[in-house]
Amino acid sequence: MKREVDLIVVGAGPGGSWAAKHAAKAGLSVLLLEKDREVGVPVRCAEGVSEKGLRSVISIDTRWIAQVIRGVRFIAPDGTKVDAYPGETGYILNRKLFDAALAEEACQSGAHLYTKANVTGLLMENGRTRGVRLRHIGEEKEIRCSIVIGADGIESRIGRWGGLNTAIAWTEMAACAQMTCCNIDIEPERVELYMGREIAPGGYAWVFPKGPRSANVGLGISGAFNPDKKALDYLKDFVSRRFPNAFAMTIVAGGVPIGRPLRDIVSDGLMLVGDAGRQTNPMSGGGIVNAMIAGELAAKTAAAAIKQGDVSVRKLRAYARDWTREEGRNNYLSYKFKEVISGFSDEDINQTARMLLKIPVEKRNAFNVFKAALIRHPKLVLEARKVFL
Amino acid sequence: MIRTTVIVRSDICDCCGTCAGVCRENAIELSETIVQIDSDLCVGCLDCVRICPMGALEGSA
Ligand SMILES: Cc1cc2nc3c(=O)[nH]c(=O)nc-3n(C[C@H](O)[C@H](O)[C@H](O)COP(=O)(O)OP(=O)(O)OC[C@H]3O[C@@H](n4cnc5c(N)ncnc54)[C@H](O)[C@@H]3O)c2cc1C
Ligand code: SF4
Ligand code: SF4
Repeated sequence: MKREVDLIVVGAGPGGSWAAKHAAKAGLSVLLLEKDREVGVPVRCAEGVSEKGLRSVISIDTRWIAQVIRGVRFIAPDGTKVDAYPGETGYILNRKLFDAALAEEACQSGAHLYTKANVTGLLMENGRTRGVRLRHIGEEKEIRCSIVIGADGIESRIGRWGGLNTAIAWTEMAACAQMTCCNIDIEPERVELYMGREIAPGGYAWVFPKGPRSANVGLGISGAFNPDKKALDYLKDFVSRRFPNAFAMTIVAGGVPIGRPLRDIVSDGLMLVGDAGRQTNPMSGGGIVNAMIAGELAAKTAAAAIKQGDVSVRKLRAYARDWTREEGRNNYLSYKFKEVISGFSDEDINQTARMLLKIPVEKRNAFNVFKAALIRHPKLVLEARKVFL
Repeated sequence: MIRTTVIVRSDICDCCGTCAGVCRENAIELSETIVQIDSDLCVGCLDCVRICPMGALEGSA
């Protein structure tokens, strides 16, 4: 392992690998450090992406696609079923293979990847990030660099070490649990989303098919509604009702930030990318494509800053501005929608569902779904137009 | 002074890091297989206990 490089990227998820790839391609010497023994494992993710989103960041390779999706079904608390978005394609990824492919691309572009490399602190000099401390297979090391990109996921500590306030209020974090279930009866080309206070208070439950008879079945809840019943307990109840014959091949936990975007994602010599920068969409919880967009933007700013010999926060703000323009603004609007919708009672959701059934199925796109849900909030409908049209 | 501490049930914990994401004191350290709470930093707010999706954390006075 080198003792000094231009850029250290912490975390080899989609955000970190994509940042490392683009920085290496721009000519920087890059270390990509991953604490786990294997890139892409464990998968704490429902693995769903829209074709449009995915295509905007990478050319699609069928090797890491598990299932093609052609429709969504919303299920209201009273059981009303609403089918939507016909014709719009999505994918359920195989994230173990996807994440590995991204890390491989980073290495092929010249980045140096190390697994079992747990970053335990930052090296600071005059208030500025100057490198990292890490434990690599039992060995303590210190490596210096010009810029650190923290892409260390929901558990990120890097931002706080570097002086950024990235802690998520517990009421603004969705607590998630997921089982990859087999032996279940599903429509493999349709994802299902369930809403309701009994099922997933302040969030939703999902069924994302991974094959003809298997799916990621999970849910996210806002702990604020009932701090005593855990996400895993809600999930056990949901699975036993919806799929009584299911077997869980994996059980995982996870967290998704659903609060307003962070004020600051850069400080002197430090940038945050992906879940570490709380860049997930607060409405859907989707963060794979967002992390990759952010990774590429951060790499671009890092390369320019290092070439000009100025890695101050003022210089690195270019990345934060790019991010806000590309996705951050959408995230903020999504946050506002989510705030309204999470206040809905079960009866509000039932009524919205019945209203949607009156719209012809081919017109039930994302925008019209929001319009129906937000009928009492005309201002938000106008803003939704900016996001969805 | 009696301090509240947090105990990790490692047989239940999934090392998902959700607790570390909410800890304002940055007191929760994660490895691939172990979650540890730095009792010098922890202020006993129990936010981590409330959010844990698995119910793997317990507060104790
Ligand atoms: C239950 C659940 C379902 C989800 N479903 C979807 C979905 O369907 N679609 C979607 O788009 N998004 C989904 N998301 C969100 C998505 O998983 C994340 O947004 C995405 O993984 C973020 O990528 P990332 O690169 O920022 O972080 P991660 O993928 O979390 O990668 C972070 C990496 O950093 C490593 N790391 C952490 N700390 C250190 C350290 N100190 N030193 C070294 N390495 C470290 C970790 O081991 C990890 O490999 C879901 C999330 C959850 C919890
Ligand atoms: S939130 Fe719970 S399951 Fe996840 S790492 Fe913390 S203690 Fe473990
Ligand atoms: S009790 Fe509060 S301060 Fe202590 S580890 Fe949990 S979240 Fe952090």
